[in-house]
Amino acid sequence: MSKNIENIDRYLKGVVLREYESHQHRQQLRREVLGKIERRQTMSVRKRAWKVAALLAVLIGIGAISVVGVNIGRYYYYGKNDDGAHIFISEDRESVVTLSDDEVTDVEQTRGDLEEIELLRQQDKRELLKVEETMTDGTLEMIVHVYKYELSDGRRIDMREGGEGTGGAFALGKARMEEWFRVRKAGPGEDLGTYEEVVRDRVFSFKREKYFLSDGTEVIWSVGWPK
Amino acid sequence: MADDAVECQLESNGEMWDEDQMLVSAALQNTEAAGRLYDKYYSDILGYIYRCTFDRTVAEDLTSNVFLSAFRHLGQYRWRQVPFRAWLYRIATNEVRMYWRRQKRVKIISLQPDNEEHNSAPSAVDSTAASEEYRLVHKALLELPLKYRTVIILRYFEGKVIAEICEITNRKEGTVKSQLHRGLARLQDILVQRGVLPG
Repeated sequence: MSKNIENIDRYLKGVVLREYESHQHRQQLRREVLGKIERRQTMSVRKRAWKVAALLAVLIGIGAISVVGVNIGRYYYYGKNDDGAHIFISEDRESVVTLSDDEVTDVEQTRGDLEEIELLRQQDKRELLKVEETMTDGTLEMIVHVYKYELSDGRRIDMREGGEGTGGAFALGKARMEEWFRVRKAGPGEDLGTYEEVVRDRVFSFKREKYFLSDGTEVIWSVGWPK
Repeated sequence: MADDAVECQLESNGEMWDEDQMLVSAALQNTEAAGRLYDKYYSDILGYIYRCTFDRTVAEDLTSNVFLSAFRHLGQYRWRQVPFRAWLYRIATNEVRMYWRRQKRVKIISLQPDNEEHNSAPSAVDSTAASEEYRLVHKALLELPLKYRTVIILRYFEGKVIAEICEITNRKEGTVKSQLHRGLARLQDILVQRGVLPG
């Protein structure tokens, strides 16, 4: 420290500061910041979930309808994708439903069904039939819940939906996902035993199997049924 | 929940992460960690901006901008080679810089008689006796170029060491030391002229 600024250095070190705090602003901004993060996370999970569900629906012909997303009033028919599957999109564009051609006989009827199902889903008038969990190389890839819905005309529709808590990135991609379905269809993987877990307040018994893809990726697939 | 996430991150990376890095990483996944990060730095950033502007309303507005911007770009943070604390201070410093730029434009407009009184009155200036001393210093600081003012506030009122100031201002050590020295010399002259310091 050169001598000519010693005075100011000493003076500034002795200046008493009055701290300023604003509890109201702190709380208000906290809510705003966290609210934005929450919304972003929700959107991110939804986008990831519908991609998974749509891919599954097309690739394995699951026999019913796949849908994810919430707060949807209306659905619109988007058309067919390259695989010939019908695409329905919610009004807010948060949910995409992909149905194989043989599942749609009347587009307008299906669209109405989707809206009714969405309503039932928001009221949680549904029954969880099955839970599937896929882990790749130790990372939770996705959770799929299969729900049973009963429409007002008595029809029963089983839905595959992106389960809550799907935290990992969707890493497999379409090509390896197709391979994974082929491998799984070809035969049982290495039996890793069973375990029990509570899902939505019910005890589910899970059977776990281990598979390997051609590039060495380890896939652990668990399927749980209510006890 | 947040603690679990933090533990997972630690295990998977196998590195010695500091608390901020763990919180930032976890904050991308859950709001609890984001809340902890916010709580940890809110007072520091509000205080820093307040000492830069000496205006409560402005300090709150700019602090809002800092946190909203920081959390919006949190995903990009990991690529920056500065500690999170320094990154937040850097954003805050930029906010303050932009504020003073806007004020310059306001001053030009305020040359018109009708606006003069309105624009020269801060919205919520601290007037307590405890802050009178700082008010004098702050008035003198306002006469310095912003680059000098920033390093002086960071060094003396935020207690930052030179290395931290370098991270915050993105300047080399020699530059920061030089700015600090020149700024102090000029500040001393101003305070001597005003009779605050002996000549």
